[in-house]
Amino acid sequence: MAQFRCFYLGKIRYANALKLQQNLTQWQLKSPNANPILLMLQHDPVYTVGLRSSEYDENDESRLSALGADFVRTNRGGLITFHGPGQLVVYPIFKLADFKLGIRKYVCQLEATIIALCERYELEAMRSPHTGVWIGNNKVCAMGINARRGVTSHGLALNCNTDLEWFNRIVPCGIHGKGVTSLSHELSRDITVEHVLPHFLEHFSDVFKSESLRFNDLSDKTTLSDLCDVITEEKFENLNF
Amino acid sequence: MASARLVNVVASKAFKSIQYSRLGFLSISQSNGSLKSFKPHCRRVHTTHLLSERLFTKDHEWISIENGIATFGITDYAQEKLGEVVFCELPEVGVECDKDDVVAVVESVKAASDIFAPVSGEVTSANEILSTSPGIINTSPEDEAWIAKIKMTNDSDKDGLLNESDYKKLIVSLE
Repeated sequence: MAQFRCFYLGKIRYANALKLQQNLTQWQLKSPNANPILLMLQHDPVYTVGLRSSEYDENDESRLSALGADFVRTNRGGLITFHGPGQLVVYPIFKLADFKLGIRKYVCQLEATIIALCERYELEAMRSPHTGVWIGNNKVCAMGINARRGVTSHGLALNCNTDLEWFNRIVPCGIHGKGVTSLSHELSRDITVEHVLPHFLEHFSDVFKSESLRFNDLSDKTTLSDLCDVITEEKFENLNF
Repeated sequence: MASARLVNVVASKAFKSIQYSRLGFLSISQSNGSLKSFKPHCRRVHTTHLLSERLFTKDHEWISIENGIATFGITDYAQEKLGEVVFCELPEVGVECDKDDVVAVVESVKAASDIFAPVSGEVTSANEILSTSPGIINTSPEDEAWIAKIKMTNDSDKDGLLNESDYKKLIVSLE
């Protein structure tokens, strides 16, 4: 199996990450030798909606923007969710066929990665008929994917020490009667994104059978074009955990 | 409870359509009038429009071209990989599209998948049933769940498309 190239981008605005994903998706479609990419990052506070965005109107948009968050309509699957500091956001961007995956199996493997990660923290997490990973009745990790000609983008958002108050303003993922949680909330101690990151990579590598992952911290890069250049042209130092 | 219909071949380009009941039994009448049942070994097959060509894209869409109008949808292989379909964004009728433009999106419980126009032309109709019953994309992807019809502006657009045999080889190579 091809080797994933993994990049930590630090905190990045959602709209910028979206442009980056679009560029990288195009690159994957055009370049037969493009390596599979794993972007890991955090977002500034933002509410995002998926394809069925007509279910959220201008009133919702202004109400949520007034809280100090961005509001962005996207082309991923799934309904409304929140992204913000303390949440590990992961966008795998790669050709599903290179790993012999269909969308269903791919999402199943993402769920398996998070379930194994929770187990490491001695938390019992599980799947449900609703996509994502749950601890009891509460979602700890949301998922929403877009697939274009077999290239996937968007991904997952795992609550590490996210301020869960932001979720109280919405019906997360449109699912009534269920709640949201975080690793910190479940364990009653502070679990940061930085703490979780290497463990996430380990379990991702296991589940996706990508033997070793090349990792680079790009949080000091300030422009999108810098990020794109580094990610697609591979001009960087190889750093290992 | 078992039900089956056998459609007679009437032209060289059409072929038999056999529908299987949920229990998977095919019943045929024998010459002595009794019913014989046997379990088929192959999965459901799709019907096809008489006297039209059925072609495929590498992105797992089927296209049926008749009198310059291309009807298209996603294949059984595609719906199976997507999972349960919950939403379909249809193209607007009257819109001009180029081959390979994103013309529709199919969202399953797992993901939203872009659907590309297989040919250039004007969208003459969109299958409104999919707005209220997107799930028929899972149950009848190559028949009832056609997505839209395009009046082709460029007949040579069909040259790059796959015939059924090449599409089947493609699927096998992906497994």
